[in-house]
Amino acid sequence: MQGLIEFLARNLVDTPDAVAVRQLRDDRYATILRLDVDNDDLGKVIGRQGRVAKAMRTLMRASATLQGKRHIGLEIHEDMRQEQQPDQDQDQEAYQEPHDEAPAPEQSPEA
Amino acid sequence: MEGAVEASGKSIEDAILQALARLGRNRDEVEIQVLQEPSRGTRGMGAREARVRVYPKAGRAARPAPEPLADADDYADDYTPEDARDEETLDAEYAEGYEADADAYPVIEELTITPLRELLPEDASIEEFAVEALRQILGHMGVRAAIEVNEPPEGEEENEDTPLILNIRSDDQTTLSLLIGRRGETLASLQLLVNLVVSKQTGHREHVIVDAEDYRVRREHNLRSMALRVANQVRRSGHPITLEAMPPNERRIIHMVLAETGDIATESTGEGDQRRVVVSLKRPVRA
Repeated sequence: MQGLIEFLARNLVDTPDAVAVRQLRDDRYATILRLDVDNDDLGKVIGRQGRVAKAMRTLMRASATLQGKRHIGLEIHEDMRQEQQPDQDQDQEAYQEPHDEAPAPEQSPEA
Repeated sequence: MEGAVEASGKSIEDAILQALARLGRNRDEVEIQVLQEPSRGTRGMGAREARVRVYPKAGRAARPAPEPLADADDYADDYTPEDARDEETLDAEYAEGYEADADAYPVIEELTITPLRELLPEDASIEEFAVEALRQILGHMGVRAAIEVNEPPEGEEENEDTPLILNIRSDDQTTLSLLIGRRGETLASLQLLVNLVVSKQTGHREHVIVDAEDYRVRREHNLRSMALRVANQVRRSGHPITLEAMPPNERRIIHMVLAETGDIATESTGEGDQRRVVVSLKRPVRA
């Protein structure tokens, strides 16, 4: 399951080398993972309204069920090596989803 | 009983839905027998899935088709017999023991966490990227399955707009139910992630469809037939009917099918995953 998230994250971000996945818990009942990505890549693994993160959790859940596990968890953090300056607005801007129409412009056109 | 299908799921409802999808029938066209009540157990330990047997009602064909819109029924009929046979064979094999077909689809090997553009040759096609992305995802999930690239439907020329369809093949019902998920949720997640990975790794926005044993195809046949049936009910009663909550792609099928009728209006209400299609008459019925 660690491999699943590592493969997906490294294939979704701009900086694969900054991706790290650790097991916070892994036993017969549960797998809980922690995913760290580069600050600028946070939006890519979360997605608009958490769509990407939700899809990854859904796959984790299916995989867990296959192994007879009951619980899964996926924590997502920005890379610890970077400055700790959480900025939610920036996360949203950094994320551009390939399959959707262009996001609504931030500034109104008359500006 | 001829054409009977057995299916399992977390709840009886889940199991019935799985069976209906496989039969290509609606609920009012089948008899349902509950084989096993689900029990939670301590999940993974002693938990039992719900199991049902579902068979088409006898004499259904004799029922008069309400209006000339019966071709949706024919659709479903076209689909059923062969399907049902397949499912029977699968179920028989399944009953003989999980071990028996465990090797039919081997564990997926050569797993990697390398970004695909570093893994695949420079001249690899979109199709190769998509297949490898799905293969890696399924492999990492520990799923035994094969991936088939589906040809475009007969009669349709292959062109730029033809979507690439990846069909996951497995002969294990538990695996398939898990990969499809409740209301196709897991399949939708697989599809989203394959598309995002392919876009990111190739720089092209190709639309890839991920299916599992033609679930999406069957579901579409089902929805078409249901839409036309509901439209007839609305015509007879004059009252609007609200359908069950559906994901966007399924609501779209309902809208498109009923847009062709001319006298039926459709509208979506509700938010998020509770969004439902309301089917109504375009204008009041004259006496």
